[in-house]
Amino acid sequence: MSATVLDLGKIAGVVVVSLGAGISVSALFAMAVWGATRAGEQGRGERSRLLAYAGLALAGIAGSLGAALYGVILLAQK
Amino acid sequence: MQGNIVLVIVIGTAIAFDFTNGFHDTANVVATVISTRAVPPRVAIAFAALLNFVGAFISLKVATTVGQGFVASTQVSMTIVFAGLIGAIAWNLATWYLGLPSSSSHALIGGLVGAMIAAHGVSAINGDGLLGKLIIPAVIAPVLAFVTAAGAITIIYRIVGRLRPGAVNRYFRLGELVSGGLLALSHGTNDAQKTMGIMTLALIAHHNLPSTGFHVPVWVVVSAGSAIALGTFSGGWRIIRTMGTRIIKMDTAQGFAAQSAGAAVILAASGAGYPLSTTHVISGGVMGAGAAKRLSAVRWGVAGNIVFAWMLTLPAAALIGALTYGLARAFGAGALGPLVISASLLILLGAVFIRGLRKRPRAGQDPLVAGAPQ
Repeated sequence: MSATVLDLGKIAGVVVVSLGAGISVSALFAMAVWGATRAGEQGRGERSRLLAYAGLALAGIAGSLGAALYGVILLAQK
Repeated sequence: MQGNIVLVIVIGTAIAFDFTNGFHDTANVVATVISTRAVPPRVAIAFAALLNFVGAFISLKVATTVGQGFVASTQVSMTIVFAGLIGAIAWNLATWYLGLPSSSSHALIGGLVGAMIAAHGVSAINGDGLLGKLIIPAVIAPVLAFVTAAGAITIIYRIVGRLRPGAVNRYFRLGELVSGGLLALSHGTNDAQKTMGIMTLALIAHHNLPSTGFHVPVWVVVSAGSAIALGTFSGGWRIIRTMGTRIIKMDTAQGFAAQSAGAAVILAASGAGYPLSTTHVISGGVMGAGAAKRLSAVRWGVAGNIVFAWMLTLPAAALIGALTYGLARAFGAGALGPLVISASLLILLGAVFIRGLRKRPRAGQDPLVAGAPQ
């Protein structure tokens, strides 16, 4: 197959970006769900743990939303 | 004068195709959200329609590929574009009626290629472009979505697998709103651009635009975005049912994984200028999210029917495009052929639209159960 038919570099880029973005955004959001659920399970005397889990949840949400937004902005700039 | 009439018919037909594209592909965007009960069906469809419209403004790379990548744009006439569009619309309506989520994109390109072959022979087709920019990405895309969704759901289950299902489902329903929104945006980006490419081709054939370079006018972007959004808002419940329940029974985490994987693949491909089939991608994502949990969770018979429809799409739309071109030319080189054919199509589309509006689910009615609207 000639190089003009198939741009392997371009297709490899699509594969890497798709796998990386799809899996990492899902992992970050799952981390947020884990943090939020665990935070909800903490009792009154476990303030430090609650804060740690809530922080993890916020970081996960910020990470997944930020990655999605970054992808859309990159596409719009192309 | 005759040329102007044909141009108006072609632009009107392109907008009608874009409407059927949105109508047909609503399922891709909202099926997982609806089937996992993340939001009510009407809200999901309105949300998807809005984001489809916004998505149309993000990029023009796919429009350029569709306009220049598959056929010799200098040899394209308005009758060819018209016949190609009719081929795509006819195939979209047939697969919608049968409840098969086939590809509107491949129907469009198949219709155009068929009409082009009927007019100028095989030499007018850019075989390399067709293979490298359409057929190979068409094979890779669903596999990529399958693998991405499978990887995503595997990691999700590892992280949240031991938590209480109630809380996890609640959070993933919220996540589905975001991933579904991203999917709708990516759908608008990739699919509306295909019609923009076709409309621009017609404007080049009519000498409204130069054949050198490929400039998509703003009014083309706005009208394509509006048509696909309106089509999405009208909904196609038959395919929603197939996508939402007949391939796998999904939980909220699977819905989230399938949508995230689909959006990632479509956005990445749109950035590279590949006119992917969003239908192929979402079907692959749904199957991947199901198969990673349990291979037998996927109803492979239904999946096989979908693959069969995919394989038929290009040749079937090409055949209808070629026949339509022949029919239009039988009325002469003027506007009569496109006028007669488009009038017949308008009547058919009107009937479909009224049927769709009458049978949309009432508030509180479940569109996924037997006896629900089509």
